[in-house]
Amino acid sequence: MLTRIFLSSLLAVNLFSSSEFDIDNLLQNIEKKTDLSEKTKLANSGVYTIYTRDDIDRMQIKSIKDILKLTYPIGYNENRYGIVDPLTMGSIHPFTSSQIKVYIDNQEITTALYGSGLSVISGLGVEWADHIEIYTQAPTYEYSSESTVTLIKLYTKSVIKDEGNKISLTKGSYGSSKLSFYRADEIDKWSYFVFGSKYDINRKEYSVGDGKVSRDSDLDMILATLKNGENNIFFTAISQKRDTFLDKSIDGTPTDAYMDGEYIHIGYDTKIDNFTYLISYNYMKYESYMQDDATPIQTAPYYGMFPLKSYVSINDSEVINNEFKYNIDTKEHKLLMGLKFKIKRYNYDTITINGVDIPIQENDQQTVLITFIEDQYLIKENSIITFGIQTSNINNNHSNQDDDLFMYRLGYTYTNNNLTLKTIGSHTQVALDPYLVNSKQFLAYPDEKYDTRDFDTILENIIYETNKDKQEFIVDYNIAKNYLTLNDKGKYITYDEDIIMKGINYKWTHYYNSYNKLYIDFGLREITNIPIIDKLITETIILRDLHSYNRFDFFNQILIYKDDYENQRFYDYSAGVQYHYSDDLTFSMKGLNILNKAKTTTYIVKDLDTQQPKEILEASAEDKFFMITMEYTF
Amino acid sequence: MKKILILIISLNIILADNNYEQKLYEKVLTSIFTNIPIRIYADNDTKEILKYSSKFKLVDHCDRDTLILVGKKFDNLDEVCKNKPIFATTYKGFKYMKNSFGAFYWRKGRPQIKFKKNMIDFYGLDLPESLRKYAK
Repeated sequence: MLTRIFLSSLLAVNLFSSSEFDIDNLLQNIEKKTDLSEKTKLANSGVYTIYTRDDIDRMQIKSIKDILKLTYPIGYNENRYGIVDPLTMGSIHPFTSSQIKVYIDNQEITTALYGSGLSVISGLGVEWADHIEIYTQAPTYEYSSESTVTLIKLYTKSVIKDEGNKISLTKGSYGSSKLSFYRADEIDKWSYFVFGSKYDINRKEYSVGDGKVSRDSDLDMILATLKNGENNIFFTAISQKRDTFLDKSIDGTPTDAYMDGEYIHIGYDTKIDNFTYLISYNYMKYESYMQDDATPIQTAPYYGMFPLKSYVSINDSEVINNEFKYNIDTKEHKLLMGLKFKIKRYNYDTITINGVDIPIQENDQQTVLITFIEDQYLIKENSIITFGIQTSNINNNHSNQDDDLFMYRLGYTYTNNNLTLKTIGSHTQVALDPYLVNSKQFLAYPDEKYDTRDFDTILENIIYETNKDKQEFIVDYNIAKNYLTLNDKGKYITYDEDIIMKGINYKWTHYYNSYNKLYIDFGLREITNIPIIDKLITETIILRDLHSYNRFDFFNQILIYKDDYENQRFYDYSAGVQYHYSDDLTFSMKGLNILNKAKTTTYIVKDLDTQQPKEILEASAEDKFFMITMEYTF
Repeated sequence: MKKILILIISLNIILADNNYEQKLYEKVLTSIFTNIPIRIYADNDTKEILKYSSKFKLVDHCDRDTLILVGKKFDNLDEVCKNKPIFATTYKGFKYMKNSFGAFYWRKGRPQIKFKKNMIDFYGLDLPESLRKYAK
């Protein structure tokens, strides 16, 4: 009798489970399976966050900024030029975040001078992205290049999931507008995706002194992919005209400051059996102009070169990148070997300070040869050890700034049905970006060799997942050696103390059902031995809710930030709603920094009379901004 | 007792299979066509999904006995197949192939099921209640 009851109960449970095969459930499972298949391969890749297609759509992720500001431990910030630069120290260096790398469809978007393409895609939209992966703290060498601390990987849409055409129109605050279009289709055995956008982004202006500073920009982008089996061609061209905010103005009051930039990337990658090959070419032309109302001092030691009254810089640069990878898979080992060779060439046509042409430094080329080997050793069915070594030989012509980097990464991953445990230790070295090599403008000691910056990290990542919940706990300990800091003239010197960063993050995702979810992230971080302020403790809290009712999708998110230096709590509240009028037509509305209390950055300049630092501006990288969007698919 | 056990084991085998796309085709097509296994002429991509299903009999060439065609594009069909119903696997195929009565495709990043009411009527097919909401 008991056996009958047991079997009957089991049958009932099985029949109940078969509701999994209702059409709607099957469609949901197919969609989720596609996302999950991306996740599977990431199990041993480091600490990562994925923004799925559904996240991008319902959170109305419009640019890299929308996700960088949520990314631990770097966050989002902009430099004096109004360009994304999370690691900026407020100096006149054009870009300081070269360890944050950007990839689109496995091809690196980079620049010869600044070592990362993050500044290139700053402000641009991601309407073309199917999903986005963010790897933090020592990602696997398979996905990264050179010295990488944070890796942003964007994947383009394709004909499989987005066949057809789509047009999108956005109107936003301060008269901003965005127009974009894409088409995904097939020609014979080739599938293609083409995207074009025209952005006119106007932002909040700030009054400084008697004038105003602006971060407005006009950004145009073309992006195209062509795929046939394992053959992938990727092309993008970007044109940007930006007002460059405070620029190099010594007192932060430029009378005119702007830059024009053009960027092209074309690349081809393929896979034949165990062999992967990639070749890509990046080109950037960059012109920057600044006028100020300062009066140059004509006497010694300045001779009319200080302070800046005018500045003109015109340069162009290119990167040729070759990558070879070979993988050997056995029952217990997954071995990957790689060779990467980069040539970075750059040419300054003009650098003019206060009307005087500055002699151009001789070095104009950097070559980087990278070799790496990484093995995933399957100890047991659910335990993997990952070990990787990477060497980089960096040579700068006409310079003694040559570096041989040696990096390693050791990880252990344990998984069972619900639990994943990852322990990762890594050593990363970062050399000077080409624009800094022998630079009298940006280095305190341009003729001396600067040591590499060394980053050592050990972290534990614990993930526990059930049907309804995902909980993640990350604890990390980091040491930064030879960090570059600023002297009293705003030029780079090597900091002689080790900067220590300790952090914990707890993340909880609760799934109300297949689509609706709540996300909570709490982070606490202590950084010690920082130049000037010595110690900083930061707290971040993210609360996010995604809900759908009938034809409406609702998004609510608040990012709370506090540090013990400012001793002030900041609240960045964003919200959005989408209305799906039909399968093809969607209207949406989104507000950013709605409370106008998002984290601000204090910009410090020099007083022209006393030459002493003074705070002139508290500005947030996230303006209070509203936008409405119409999307039509056909 | 033995029958219950067999039923449970069978259900578990089905549930253990995570090939949701295959299950979707099975669920949809067997609701409309009752001659199981259904004789299907499919393009190469779709064959890869359907080939392990016991509900379908995949044929290499479309002939008189083929019941339906499943795929994104069919050129150079024999005269005997030119008017057979097509279940499309792309949005474009669904929109432009005149014989397409239904489709499973991705659009705006989401998988979708669609049926054309006029073609369902044209072929005299009976759409079950569970699928009617996908018909236009």
